[in-house]
Amino acid sequence: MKRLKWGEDLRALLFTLPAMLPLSLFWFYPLGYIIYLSFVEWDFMSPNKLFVGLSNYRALLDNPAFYQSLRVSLLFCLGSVVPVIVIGLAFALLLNRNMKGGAIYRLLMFSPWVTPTVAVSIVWSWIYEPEVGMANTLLRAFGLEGVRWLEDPAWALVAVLIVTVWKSAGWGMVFYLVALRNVPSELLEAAELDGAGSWRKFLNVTLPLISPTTFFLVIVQVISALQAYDQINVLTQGGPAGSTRTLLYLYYQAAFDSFQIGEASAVAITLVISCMALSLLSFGVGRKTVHYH
Amino acid sequence: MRRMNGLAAACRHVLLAAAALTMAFPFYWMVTNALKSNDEIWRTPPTLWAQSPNWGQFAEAWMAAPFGRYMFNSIFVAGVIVILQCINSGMMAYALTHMKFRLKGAFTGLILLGYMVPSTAVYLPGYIVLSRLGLLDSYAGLIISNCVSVFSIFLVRQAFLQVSHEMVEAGQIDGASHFRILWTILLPLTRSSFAVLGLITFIDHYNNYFWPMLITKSQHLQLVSAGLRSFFVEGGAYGLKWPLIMAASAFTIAPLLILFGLTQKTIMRSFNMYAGASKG
Repeated sequence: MKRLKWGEDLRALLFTLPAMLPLSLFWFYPLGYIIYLSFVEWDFMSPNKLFVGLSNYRALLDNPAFYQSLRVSLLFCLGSVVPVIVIGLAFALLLNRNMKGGAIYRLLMFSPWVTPTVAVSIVWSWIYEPEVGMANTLLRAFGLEGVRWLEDPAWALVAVLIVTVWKSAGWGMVFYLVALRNVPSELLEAAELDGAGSWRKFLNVTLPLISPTTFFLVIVQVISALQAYDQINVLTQGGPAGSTRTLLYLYYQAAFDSFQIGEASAVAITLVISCMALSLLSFGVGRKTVHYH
Repeated sequence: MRRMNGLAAACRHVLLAAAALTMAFPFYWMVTNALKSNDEIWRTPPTLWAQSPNWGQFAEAWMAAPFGRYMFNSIFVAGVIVILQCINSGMMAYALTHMKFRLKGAFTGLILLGYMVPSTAVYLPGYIVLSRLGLLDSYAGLIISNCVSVFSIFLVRQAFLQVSHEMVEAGQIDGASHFRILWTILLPLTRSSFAVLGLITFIDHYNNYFWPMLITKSQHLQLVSAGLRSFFVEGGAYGLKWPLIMAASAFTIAPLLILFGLTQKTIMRSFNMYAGASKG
């Protein structure tokens, strides 16, 4: 009996191997390795790494670029999460009823999500062109002055965020469509009998019932905002004057442009910790706020 | 009351049409600008449709850089990754849901940990690992470094948990091997989950840019996003060849829009699964 158990253990390990081997190589080992790298001084080339304790973290805290990128990352999260949630929900509410042509609307609104970020960002950079771009043509049509979208530090982040929101709003919408379909119609009817108008019904019945979806979307969108790279790389490369340099972009530049591996790793650790904290939060709260089923 | 409803429905349609057209506008703009001449594209105010559409510019852009090669690379790499991920996620999920073994708890914990770590944050050490393995700048590197996904394992695990354990046990009592049970009992029951997984993974990796760009240098290994981006930068982006750049973007995006059009239902279904998986 005991021998049989060992055999089963072995067979199970065999089943996990094809996944665990690459996971260890490209996921778990790198995670440990980057923690180590954040405590050394290294330039990528030299054979020896100098152990420097916490000084990479201290250097980070003295580095104004770090605070700037922290701020940009926060703004990026806020500026992408809130619009994605609001627009996604608005689209979903409009589409919720079975209506003629609903499938076509849904198709059009969702399509940006499946397209390559690099390619659509290139298209957007033409829309942002200051002289003949569509963005400024529209502004002028409303009697406003055109903006140098990608060269003006005050507007560059807005430009990147517009692309980000455009790409993800349909994604939020589809999640909300699923959630709205799960709102029991008896509850809405009961509220109606109590004399609630549609706004009241939405506020007191629908919104609380779809809150787990909202929470899930916020977490996932924040995590993806922290990792946004493609659109920044195409549109602004972190500039002008660092106005679109997120934590991830700072990490990338420190590592692959200026070869300060230690400091770059310290930035990466802040990213890892933020994302892990958010995920843990989502597991914890997710368990407590299951509204349906 | 009837008239009110009619009015509301009309309002709804107007709002929806406006929203949908706004969302689709960049695609339309890309195509018309790909058809304009270099003179027309710089005209103010911009023309909404090309005056004499030059469809030849698509061919011209296609020849201006090795786009055929780029596209082959993307499709090939993404395709192989899909196959590998289906296999290793299926086996891993099977072990985690229907086998009893000592390290099960530890492995489940590790997967959960992997789920929380942002992949972009470990690109630097991942790059170093790949260079030590001598796999930088190779198809093998592009494929192996992406051949497993914690998320895929999660999704398949979720699907396998729905399959009743009795069915699997019945198979085990009949003396079927684990491979056989996985192949003849679980796979047919969860085929739609694998379809979703394959599709989403394919799209992700066709579109992938940051990591492949880091680990490849040769032009002939570039995926389509990186290739398009270097065409954008080198091809006299800042001003000279905008119609060609729009044309190149169009044929990079087109396969995905077509794929999405054909598989819309499957992709939309994936959202039910994601929502399910997130509930843990």
